[in-house]
Formats: sequence, structure tokens, C-alpha cells
Amino acid sequence: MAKNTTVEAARAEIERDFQAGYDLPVYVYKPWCKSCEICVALCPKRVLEMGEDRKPVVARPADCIQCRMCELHCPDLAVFVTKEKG
Amino acid sequence: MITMHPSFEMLRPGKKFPTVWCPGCGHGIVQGAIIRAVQKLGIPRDQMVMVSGIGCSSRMPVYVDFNSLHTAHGRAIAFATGVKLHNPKLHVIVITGDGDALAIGGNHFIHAARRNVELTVILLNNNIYGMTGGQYSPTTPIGKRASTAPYGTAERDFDPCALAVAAGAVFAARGTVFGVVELEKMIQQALAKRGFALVEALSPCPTLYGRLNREGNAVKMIQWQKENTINAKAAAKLPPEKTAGKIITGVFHDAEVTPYTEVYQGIIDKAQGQKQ
Repeated sequence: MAKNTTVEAARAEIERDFQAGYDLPVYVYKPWCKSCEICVALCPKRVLEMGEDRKPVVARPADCIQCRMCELHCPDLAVFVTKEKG
Repeated sequence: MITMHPSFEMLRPGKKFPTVWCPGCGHGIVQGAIIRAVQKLGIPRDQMVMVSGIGCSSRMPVYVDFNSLHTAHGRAIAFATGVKLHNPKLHVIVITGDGDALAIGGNHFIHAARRNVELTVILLNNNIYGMTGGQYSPTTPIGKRASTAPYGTAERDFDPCALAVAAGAVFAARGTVFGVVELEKMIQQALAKRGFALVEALSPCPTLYGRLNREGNAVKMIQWQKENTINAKAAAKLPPEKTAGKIITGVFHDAEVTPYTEVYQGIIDKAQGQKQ
């Protein structure tokens, strides 16, 4: 289930992960994810896959082309691309 | 270099997320497009006012960190007209649903378009009354099921863009959440427009409309949009049999008409005895 958090709490949690060395091209903030699978379905490179907890996992990070389809289509701002194109 | 979500800065501090919308609801995607359009135009948040009525879509002002007004059912455009007339420098966005704008607020909608009040109306069209349990709305296509039309509705549906143009709107466009990049550009155009600008965003409702009409989950409904919509420019080049049954998207109308606040300022000046 999605868990209620404020945007400040989300930002702090994500920044902690970044400081701990998060290096994947896509970040999934699980507390806001409602498991609609839109990001998984619309990724042209199949970078994302549904995990056992019904949340997307970054299965093929090397294939990401930073097209941001996942980020633009996530209704809950839970998925975003962490790296600039190019 | 690793970067944070670019839209987080526009979300309302202290508000609990995720949003109230169901999993896969298109409204959140439209919300993202509005945030990016405002960011790209560089409009300061203090100058943005988001006004909404009642309905699923109308929950949006709660989540976005603009000045906001959550008003009575169907009356968002009426309240927004008041805001715009009081302070014409503000950018006023009206967030409304298909039922809110076209049924309960139908008169406000056509008369604001007729007056050419400078409002950006984003009509989130999910073809159903989602919040109250799936009753059919003025945009439910004929024959489609709703909780109040278990054998399919017998009524024809409105075309909101044609209605707005006929009533006098200066800008009318239709986008989909599948084509969110185009939708974002339409919202940018509408925000830059001086006059009544309508952007109709087709937003799937997987929980009620999708379930009652057996259209599948959120992913299937978004893919349906991809297969069943066609851009107006592309459609113009195709023979009619290839576009039959498809929903036309794109910018339908873009005109220049003196906006209402300017005309009204003229009246104020005249009444106060000043020469224009």
C-alpha cells in the first residue's frame, strides 16, 4: 500500500539515498507508488519491471535512454529519471 | 550528477501524498503537465491562482503550491471570473471535470467563453462522475455504461472544444494523458493566451468507467488512447474512412479577441470620466 508522507519527508528520504551512493538512472519513491504499472508499460526499453512487492524495480539500468516517459506518465510523481540526457 | 524530481518544488508543503486519486487515474498525469507548463513559462507561484469546483479533478489545487480556491460544484469559473476581475495581473487556472464544467456549471462555462474572460480552463474529461460513484456525465459516449446507465446511456455526448468555440472562446485544444508532452505544450499555449482558453485533457478513469465498460486497467486505457486518437493535422491529410470513430486531438481554435478585463477597464475609465 501507498504510505502517506509529505513532500519534505520524501525529499529528505530521497536525498539520504542519493548521499548513500544511489546511482541508478531511475528512482522509484515507493511510499507514493500505487502500483498502477503505467511506468513499466510505457518504458520503451523495458528498464522497469514489477517487483514482488508490486512496485517497479530498475531491472535493466544500462538500457535507460533518459526519455522520461516513466516520469512524465507517473500520476503520483513517484518515479523520476535521476540523470540528464547526454 | 544525480538530480531530484523537478516537480517537487511545486508541491504544497505539509500536505500528505500520494494524492487521493485511484491507482492509474489520469488526473495526476495532467497535474504533472500543468506543473511543468508553469515552470517552463517561469510564472511565479504567487501569481498563479488555481480555482476548482467539485469532483475528482477538483482535488488538484490541494496538492499544488499555488494560490488556491476550492469552490462549490460547477461554480469554479464563476469564482475565477471574480478573481480575474479583481486582479487582472494574476494567472487564473480553472481545474474542472466534465460534469462540473458541462452539466452543473454549463452556463458559467459558456458565458465566461462569451465574455472572453482571461481564464485557462483545464477540463479533465474522464467521461464519468467518478467521485460520486460512476453516474453518466455529459461526455459519456452514447451506448457506454455507467452506474446510472447499466444498459448504456441513451444520450449523445458534448464536444467541449466545439462548445467553447461556438460560445466565443479564443483557444480550444484537446490532449490526452498518453500524449502528455503535447498536452503540456497546449497548456503552455493556453496560459500565454489573453482570453478564454480551454484545454480538454482526456484522462482515463480505470476504477469506474474502465470497470463498468470492461476497458481494462490503467495501462490498457492509456494504450487505447494511443490507438484511438489522431492529431488534427494528421487527420486532415487522411481519407475520412481512416479517421472514422477516432478522437481528434490538437489545437482547434486560436484567435485574438480583446479580453474582457481590458474592455471592462475601458468602462471603468469612462465611468470615472477619464479619456481613453
